[in-house]
Amino acid sequence: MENTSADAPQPPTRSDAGSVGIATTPAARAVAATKVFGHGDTAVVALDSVSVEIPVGRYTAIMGPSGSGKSTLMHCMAGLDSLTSGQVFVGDQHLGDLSEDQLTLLRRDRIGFVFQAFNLVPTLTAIENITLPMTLAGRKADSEWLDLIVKTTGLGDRLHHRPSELSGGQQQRVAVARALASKPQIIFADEPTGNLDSRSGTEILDFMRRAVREMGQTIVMVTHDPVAASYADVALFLADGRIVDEMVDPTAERVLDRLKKFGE
Amino acid sequence: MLKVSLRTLLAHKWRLLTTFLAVALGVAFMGGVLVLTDTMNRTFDDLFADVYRDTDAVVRSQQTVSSDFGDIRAQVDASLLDEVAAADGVAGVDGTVSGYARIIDKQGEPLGDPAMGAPTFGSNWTENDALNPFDLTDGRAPTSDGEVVIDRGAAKDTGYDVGDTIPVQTRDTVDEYELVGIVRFGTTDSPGGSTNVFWNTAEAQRLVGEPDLFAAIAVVGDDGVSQDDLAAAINDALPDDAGVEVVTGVEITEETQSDIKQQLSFVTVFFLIFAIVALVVGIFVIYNSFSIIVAQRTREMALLRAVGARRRQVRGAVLIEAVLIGVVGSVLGFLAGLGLATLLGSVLQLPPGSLAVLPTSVAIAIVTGLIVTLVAAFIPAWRASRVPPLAAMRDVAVDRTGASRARLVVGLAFLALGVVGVVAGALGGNLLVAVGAVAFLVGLGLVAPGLARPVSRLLGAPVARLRGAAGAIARDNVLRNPRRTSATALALMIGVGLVAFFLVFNASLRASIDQALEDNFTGDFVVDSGTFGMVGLPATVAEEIGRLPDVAIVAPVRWSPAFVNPAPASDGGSFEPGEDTGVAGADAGAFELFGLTLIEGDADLGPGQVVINVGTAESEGLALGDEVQVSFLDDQRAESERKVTVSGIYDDSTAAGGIGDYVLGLEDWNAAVASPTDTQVFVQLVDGVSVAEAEPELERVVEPYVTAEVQSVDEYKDMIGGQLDFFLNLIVGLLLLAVFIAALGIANTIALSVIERTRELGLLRAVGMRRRQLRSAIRWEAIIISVFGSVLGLAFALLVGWGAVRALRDEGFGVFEVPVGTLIVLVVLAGLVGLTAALVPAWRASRMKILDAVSME
Repeated sequence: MENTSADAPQPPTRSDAGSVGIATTPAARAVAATKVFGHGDTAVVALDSVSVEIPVGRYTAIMGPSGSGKSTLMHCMAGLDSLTSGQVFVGDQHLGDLSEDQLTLLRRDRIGFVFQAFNLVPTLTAIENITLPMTLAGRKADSEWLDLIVKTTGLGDRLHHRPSELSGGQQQRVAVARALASKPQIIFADEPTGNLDSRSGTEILDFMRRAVREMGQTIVMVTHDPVAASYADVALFLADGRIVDEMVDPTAERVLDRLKKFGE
Repeated sequence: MLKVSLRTLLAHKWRLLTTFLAVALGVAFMGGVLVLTDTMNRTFDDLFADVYRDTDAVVRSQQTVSSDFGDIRAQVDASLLDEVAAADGVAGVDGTVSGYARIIDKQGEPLGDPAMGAPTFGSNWTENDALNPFDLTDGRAPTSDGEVVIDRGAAKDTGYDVGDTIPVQTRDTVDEYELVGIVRFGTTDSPGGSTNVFWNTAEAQRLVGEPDLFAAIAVVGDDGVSQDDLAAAINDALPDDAGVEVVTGVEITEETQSDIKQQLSFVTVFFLIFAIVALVVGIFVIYNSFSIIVAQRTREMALLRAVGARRRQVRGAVLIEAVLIGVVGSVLGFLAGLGLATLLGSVLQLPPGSLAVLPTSVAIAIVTGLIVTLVAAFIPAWRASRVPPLAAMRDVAVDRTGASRARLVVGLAFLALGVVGVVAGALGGNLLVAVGAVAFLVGLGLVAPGLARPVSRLLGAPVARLRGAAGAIARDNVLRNPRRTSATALALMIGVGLVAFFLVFNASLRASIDQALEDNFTGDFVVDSGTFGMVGLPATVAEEIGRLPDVAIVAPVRWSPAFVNPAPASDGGSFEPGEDTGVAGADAGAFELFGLTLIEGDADLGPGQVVINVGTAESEGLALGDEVQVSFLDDQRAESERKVTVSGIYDDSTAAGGIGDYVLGLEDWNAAVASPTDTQVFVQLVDGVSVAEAEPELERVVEPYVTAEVQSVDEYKDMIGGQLDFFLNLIVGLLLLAVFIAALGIANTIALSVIERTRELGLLRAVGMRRRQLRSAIRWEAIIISVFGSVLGLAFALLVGWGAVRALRDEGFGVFEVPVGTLIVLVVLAGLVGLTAALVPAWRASRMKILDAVSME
């Protein structure tokens, strides 16, 4: 894989995180990951032997036009879907070796999720939603860590409200807080700002960047929005089920320019 | 819109399966009962048409007396036979004699049981072929006293054959007879499953009738003489004071057929009540299904409205769906009912043949099913029509509304009214209890959505604590839609509430009887003649028991329907039968053993004396020394009037109840009735003799009387308890249908809720909820709903059970008893019903693909 943007200036925090990332196991990786939907004449290759490493402590964006396989890649790396061939790892755990129940426990204990919508359980309050993975595990949340996250969300007095009483932006902040609460090894975010207005979207993207820069979390975000991608440390570009490019410290303009090439 | 309805129906056919079943099951039961009744009616119509086919007229007594087993008619004097035979147009006559008789099989057990099934007849053999519906298939007719003929059904069941010596029990004896012939009834072995024994006329009169009396006289007319003319001619030939009436063959056939129909109609009504309960429960289930489906289709409805469908059309579309479900469900349900009727018909040993499917029964069952569905669907349809077109663009919010304030207020008013009614009825001992019960039920239905949140929160608290996240999620899901939760729970409430009511009622009755026996009855044994008094113990049995050295007191008691005239005719001489009522026969020993105290006079009961209870003394205005006229059917001294003097007034307000309103001395009784028998004999042992020591002696005395049983007080209690439990089990068994339909409702609600929550469940799974946690959460949700419903049912059962028991305290309900253990088991079982209902939806939810749920596409 080639870094087409090696000459770009790097933010000060990046070199720190980068040096750690090189020395340790990646937060997640895919090896020759292939996913085919359907079979015979109607078979569609969603992922075509993709190999990628998600470094620890980085904010990685996965970009690509719709149908490029970016969501499928994320689903497979997160244990929500299985590969046709190839391997995916979270840390050094090979997901293909795990049973359905072990995968569930892996998602619960080591992975955080932020979806585009329907992120929250409507019967639970904001704080209950945040602590849901721990509740499911029958564990107590680390209260210091939880306080830190809650403070960062800026939800304050709305913690005991139910999702229907929160704005879309607030709901997504709760979702990000939930993803962070169990100190997962990696957080997968699927178009987290897709349903938000731009101001709320910015809030979420800021929140996620702070989680990486200040709290040392690892986030992988699938998006088709160049502005969203500009918050990431690295942007990977997918087309037709392959990784076609990688951009370090992307900016919205550069991402947009790169995306335009797909259309040609 | 019809096309829309049809398409939707087909698209959602699995979601509607339970709705459909809720209609079909209720209709199946109703249809089955109706068809079975029609079939039985037709069977008996055919049977009696056969029995009386060649009978042109019947001469019988005008006098009847009512009893628990239907009207009993007096007999006619045998001397009338010749007078009838001499009338114009009479070709042949035969006097009939009929009563109770039971064949004893080779194992010494009596065949058949008239208390539980078909009757067991003993009759005289009718010599006149035209008047005898039976035909000999083997052997010959009985001629001498020691000979009998039995029907082929009984012969097959017992293995008896011509030439065997067979024991037969009649009202006060068991004797052995030589079997000389076997008969059949038309083409069947025995009519309606009954057993039949035939003697010659004199022997039949001695055993099951009375000498020189006939039950009736059957007549065959000459050819060409109409039945009406024949009856008129016979009437003219008989003396006016004979006390008989002449009915034609057509009339007696119709009368017998309609009597049977009336008796069957009680059974039909009994079973139909349970069919109606099942259908009412069905209404809740159907209502709930439609409500949920309409809620889930809000966007679709809104879209229809947005593109120009009128409210009426949207409402119509839902109602058309209801009609389609109602019609298909009812028709298939009715077909299932035919299966049920066939099955029950074979259990009841109806002669094989096609079922009687009358258009009225078909119409009643199917129209009822349709109405039930439409009533249930009406409110959801109306709600669908209120969906604003704009809803198509909105996200559908969770419906958290419980009961509206108005609904709560009205509901609470009904509850208060119900409590007041039940309490007033309990104190006053009247039907206000039933009125209160209905009001309370309606009130519960109205406030249930308001109760759903607090009660479910309470019930869910331990679940959330014990089952962790799954429990908490289950509890929250129960709370999220109070209306849905309560409608689901209400369906179960009805079934569980009724079951619990009967449990409370039965427990109270048993406890009352036990207490009455413990507090007042000082005897040690009850010798029961068996078969509910159809057969008795000859007076010699009590005498023999009295002679046993271990016995201190022996107290025979007998009951019979009779005529009592508490205010004898003042003009003297003329006999006025008075009203018919039950009369008991006993002696002073019975009063002692039952612990009954005399308020006035004594209980010596010498000749010409009667003891009455306080209630009768008050209601009839009788005092010590007043005269009362008492006569039995076929009273041998009826013409000379039996006047007895009130010699004692006793208090029967104790929990034991009394012996009867009028208690006659045994001597008078013996003088009045040809074959007096005791229904029960109560025994008190000499101090120091144990029950176990005395039992064999008593057993030896009653051994010849096959149906008689010697029971210690404890065994007697168990026997009564067993009889009560039999009815309890029958009722509970029939209510299970309603519980089953409610279970379908739970399954349906849960299944539809799972579909509705697909995304949410997917999210839960994505963030780490294990499959078994998810299944557990869904199962607990169903359990909480079920327990909520059964708790409401218990509230109803306890209140109404208390009211009913208190209202009946003068009828022997001295104790209100709550069978706590059984009721707890009932609630646990209701929870298991919920659990079972949720198994499939929970399993399906746990197999759901997470990606389908969470991805936006």
